[in-house]
Amino acid sequence: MFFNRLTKKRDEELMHLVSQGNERAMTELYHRHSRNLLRYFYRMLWKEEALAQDFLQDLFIKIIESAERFDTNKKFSTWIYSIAHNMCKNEYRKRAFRQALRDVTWVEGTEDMTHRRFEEKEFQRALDEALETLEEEDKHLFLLRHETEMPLEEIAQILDCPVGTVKSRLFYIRKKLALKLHSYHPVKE
Amino acid sequence: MKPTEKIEELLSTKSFDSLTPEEQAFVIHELGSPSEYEALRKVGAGLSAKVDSPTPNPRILKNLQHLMQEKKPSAFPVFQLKVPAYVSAMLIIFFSSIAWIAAKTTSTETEPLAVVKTDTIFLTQKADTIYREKVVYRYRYAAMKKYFPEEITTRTSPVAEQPVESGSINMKEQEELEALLVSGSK
Repeated sequence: MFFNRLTKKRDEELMHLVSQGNERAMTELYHRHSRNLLRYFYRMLWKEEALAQDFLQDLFIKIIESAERFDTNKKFSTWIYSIAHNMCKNEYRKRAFRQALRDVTWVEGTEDMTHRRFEEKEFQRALDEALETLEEEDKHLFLLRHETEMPLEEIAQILDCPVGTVKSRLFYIRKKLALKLHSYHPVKE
Repeated sequence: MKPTEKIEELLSTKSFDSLTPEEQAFVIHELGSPSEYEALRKVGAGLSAKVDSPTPNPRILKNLQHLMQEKKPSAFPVFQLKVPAYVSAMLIIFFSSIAWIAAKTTSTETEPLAVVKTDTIFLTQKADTIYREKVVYRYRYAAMKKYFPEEITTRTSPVAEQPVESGSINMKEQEELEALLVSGSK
């Protein structure tokens, strides 16, 4: 009965309960967001599942420990993805050198891809690789939109920019990726 | 709305076939061909269609629940109050000084309590003054001279002569007298 009531509450109300030490509210929040957040981390962190799981746990620990500081007038998902993004940024800084090496490796790999046709599964693998070559901010934006399926308005709040800018940036990222995956969908002029 | 914004909106909502004729014309004008539009759509859809995404490890939730239990406020919130270090130090000094003052005022000599039971009391101290009643015969010498003239010599002083029957005290009487005096002095 208590769980039913919690499921009807908004994220922000649940966060208020979490700040009061309500374990069930935290569990409900976890069930709502953990899967999407894990996918987000998985994509952002070079598809290293163990690392993504660690980040997911660390993120929720941060949420629990700083629950009192959460402004319930703000949107929870905006807040949580901002934290997630900052965590990824820090990880990128740590691995800047390694990431540079990855980019080089990918460029070499794409040379071969232009001469081959891939099926749907292979297209997705190529898409993953193409995502790895994106700038951190672009990757973050693209994943928020297409991996977590977040509304444009929320993304705009997270990135602190107008919705129109988000749309434009998404379009250019699409074009960039489409260009890299050109061999999979040849454009008829 | 900028063209790029509009195209992005259309890309995320509609396939090329679902577009209105005006929208299709707009897309072709901006992108060149329907296949370009579908290619761009495929990029976003390809990501959403992924099925090999990992699922959260069940241990994470258990760890978080454990953390929440540790953070749960106690029934007595006063015990969870955060006190600054200087306040703690002042409280320690305050209570220490109170304890020190209290210890100083109360006597610290602790004598062992010895319970001695005495069933017999021996008094070694004798009375200072003993009044002894004694009958002195004023005219005893004259009487003795009268009745026993040959017994009286010059060596016996009339004062030293005391009647044995009435004035002298024997040992028994002496003890009784001392006992009497002792009990009287008690």
